[in-house]
Amino acid sequence: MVSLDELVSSQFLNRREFGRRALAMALAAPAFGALLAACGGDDDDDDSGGSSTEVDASGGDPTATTDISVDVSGAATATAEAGAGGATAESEPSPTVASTGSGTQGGSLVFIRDGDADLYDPVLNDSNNVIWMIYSVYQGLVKTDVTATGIEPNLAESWEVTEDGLTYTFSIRSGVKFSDGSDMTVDDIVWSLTRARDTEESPWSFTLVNVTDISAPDENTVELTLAEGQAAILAALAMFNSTIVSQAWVEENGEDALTGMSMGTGPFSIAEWRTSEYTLLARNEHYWEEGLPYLDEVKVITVPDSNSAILQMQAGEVDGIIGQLSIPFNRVAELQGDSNLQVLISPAAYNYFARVNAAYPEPNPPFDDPHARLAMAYAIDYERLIDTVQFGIAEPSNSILPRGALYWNPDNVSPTFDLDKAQEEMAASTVPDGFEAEVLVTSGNAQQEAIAIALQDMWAQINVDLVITPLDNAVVNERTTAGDFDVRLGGWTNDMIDPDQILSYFVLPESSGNARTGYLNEESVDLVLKAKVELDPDARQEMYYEVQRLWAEDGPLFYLFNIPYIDVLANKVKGYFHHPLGPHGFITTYIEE
Amino acid sequence: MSRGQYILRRLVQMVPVVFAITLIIFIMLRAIPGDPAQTFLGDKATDQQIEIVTREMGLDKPIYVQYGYYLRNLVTLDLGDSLKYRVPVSTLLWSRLKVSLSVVLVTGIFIMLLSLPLGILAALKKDSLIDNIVRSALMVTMVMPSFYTGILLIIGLSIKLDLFPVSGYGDTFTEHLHHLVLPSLTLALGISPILIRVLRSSILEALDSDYVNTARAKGLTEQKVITLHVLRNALIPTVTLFGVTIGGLMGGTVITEKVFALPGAGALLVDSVAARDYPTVQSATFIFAMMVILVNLATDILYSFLDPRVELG
Repeated sequence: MVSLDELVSSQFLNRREFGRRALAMALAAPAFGALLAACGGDDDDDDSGGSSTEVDASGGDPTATTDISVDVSGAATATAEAGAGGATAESEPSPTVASTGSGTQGGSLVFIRDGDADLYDPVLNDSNNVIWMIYSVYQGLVKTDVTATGIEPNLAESWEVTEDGLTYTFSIRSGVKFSDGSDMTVDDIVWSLTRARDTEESPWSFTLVNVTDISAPDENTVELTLAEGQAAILAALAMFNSTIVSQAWVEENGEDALTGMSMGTGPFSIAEWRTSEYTLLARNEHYWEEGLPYLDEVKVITVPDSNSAILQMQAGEVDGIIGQLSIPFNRVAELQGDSNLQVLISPAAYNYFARVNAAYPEPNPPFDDPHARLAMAYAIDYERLIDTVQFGIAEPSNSILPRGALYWNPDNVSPTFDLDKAQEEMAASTVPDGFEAEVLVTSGNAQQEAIAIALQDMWAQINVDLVITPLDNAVVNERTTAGDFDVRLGGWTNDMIDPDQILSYFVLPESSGNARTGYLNEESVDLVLKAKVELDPDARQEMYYEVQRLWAEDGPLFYLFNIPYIDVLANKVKGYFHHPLGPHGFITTYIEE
Repeated sequence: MSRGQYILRRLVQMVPVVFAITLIIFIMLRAIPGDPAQTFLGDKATDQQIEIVTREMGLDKPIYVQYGYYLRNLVTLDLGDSLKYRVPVSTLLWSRLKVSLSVVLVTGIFIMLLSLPLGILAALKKDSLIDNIVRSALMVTMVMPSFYTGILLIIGLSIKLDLFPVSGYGDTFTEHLHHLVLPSLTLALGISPILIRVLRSSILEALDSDYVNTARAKGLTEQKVITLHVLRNALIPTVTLFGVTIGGLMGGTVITEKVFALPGAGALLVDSVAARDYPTVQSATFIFAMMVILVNLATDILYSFLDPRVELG
């Protein structure tokens, strides 16, 4: 008799081998977007003159290897033109974006992105994949202009601020409807803003923490009272968490319904969401802007593998690939050469840096020594990084603020590649003979790995031995939060146009130990605190310029580069606009066969 | 022991195994570094936010209480809410399992379609040109990583010939099937070669055996010898291997899922591990473990049909 045990034991036991190999590889490829810190500043005082030229200037920067401007391919011209006209003084109602466009009505488009949303609740969500879609569905009282340097009217037609800067009175646009056809009222606004402020588990409730009273004196007016002056309040109100949701709809369907459905005043509504498959946006028939949106439907599908996404694009199965890093940089040139496609490279408020742990939670020698940090900063060949790691698709960074952002100083001076200076700084440091540094990288993140290897090579020249430790994303986060690292690589995308938030996070020590660097610069702390309540834009600019200077002097951040957004679109797709803060401009997108 | 008794006994034996599995899953998940709240909030988390989210996720409770909740959830089949997606895990998991199960099913069909004829052919035409071609060609598809095979199939069958969609899952049943062809073929091409080799060598072994000589000697046609005597015996090791492979496929198709953008359970599991989404990982791994156990049980039972000499028990 053949026994069962004998039979089984005599066979190959490699059933799991296949699965194990697959799992190991997939663990090494988590979506890069998940670790990008999304944060922003908050306010808005419009500084229109200087700021709008900044964006233009970035396109013509002779040092950049790739021109990055709003209308590289011409696809975004309608929006860009309208945007330029729209950047007017904040208290005047401005023409709506792309109302001058000549888009044709109807049709539907399918776009790919590399990751899916987790939940679409404007208040609870915390990922760029959500944030960048939310603006197509929900709208706030005000919005960020197309250059991301000013604030424009949205659901509020105009507003007034009292002399002391403590009371904001908004005149609400009439005739605005939710996507179910019901009227949006001031009560919806009061309810939504109150929810945004009081939802404890919202990662964004701090943006409104200074608002003591939200009320509606009459049916066309909403009044906000602040505890103290907050220069960034309008920018905060332009953010996704301060968008307006139908109170009646939520009361009927429950707050959980906001996870996967929507009831907002935006040009589209979420018709269907299948996790990890797609989000289907359907035109809001009751949208208040005349003639917009053009499209009937936008389907955004999730394709995590970039090769597969590009193949689908080349096969003509989809109309575009959008997102932050859906397109690998090394594929851009090839796609640009395809006459059936347009490659849109748009300026992004996306700054990339290496940061060192100087003193969090305790001094971390030798990184607490300014000379050691400066030696590292001077030893980085920034141009070579852009050429090799980014395949030329990035622009130099000179500041803690993203290029082109509000109050970014184009003339800020930060360390550039200079091996002699690096060696001088090494000699002046406490560790003239060199030292070891550990960089944590998220395993499977090709960009971080490439940067780490390049830095290892560059720092070897000043006797700094960089040890590269690849770790799972969750472990990287845990060790970072605990201060158990020497060097981290990562990007920062602004969500608000005002630098207050990014600077509060990095410069002020309370909330996160200076972004876990432990680098406390008293002078810049004072300036950031003052700028919070300073209402004069010129005075704020001066303060923020000074903070940028101080943090570039011997700070814990090495400004590697600014990364643009890359979108690939079929030729028939017109009017798509990728906002510098990330949102997808489906509202002005149309089809031209 | 009758077949019914055997199944019952095996099911009862499963109880301590299942209990051990829950314990191992629970402990391992908490033993690996990485905190769900920190991961959810990302790089920019402030200490206060981490505290709030930890409380909200119920992770401030003592560890045995959390384990108790986990067991209770499994028993009541209410698997709790996903920490990442904030929807019930059961909803999330079921929508993904449907996809994974269909992938496994279609892959199984492809494996059989490829393995049986090719294995038999290679064995019967031993050392012929056909045998060598089959063996060497399949060696190539076996060593190719699945993401590479997948991309090649996409380029060939989707882009050039436009026969199948590049990726996705579709909306209707026919669309699902249409979308499943390439991913399933990718998986089958990686797995079939092993089965074919096993089948081939078992057939060759059977052909050499005394009972085949006897069968031939008593004048059975060659066809009857092959189907009734050779194949039936040669299939047993192949079925074993097929069973364990299919069991392992349940959660092990991650790469193929990613390449073809299939919303399957494997990708969900990997994403959930990365997010330290405890409830989802705990439920998903538990279900995968159960499936492997059940497939193995089914395989064992299948033996008794194939080979009456196998005694259950």
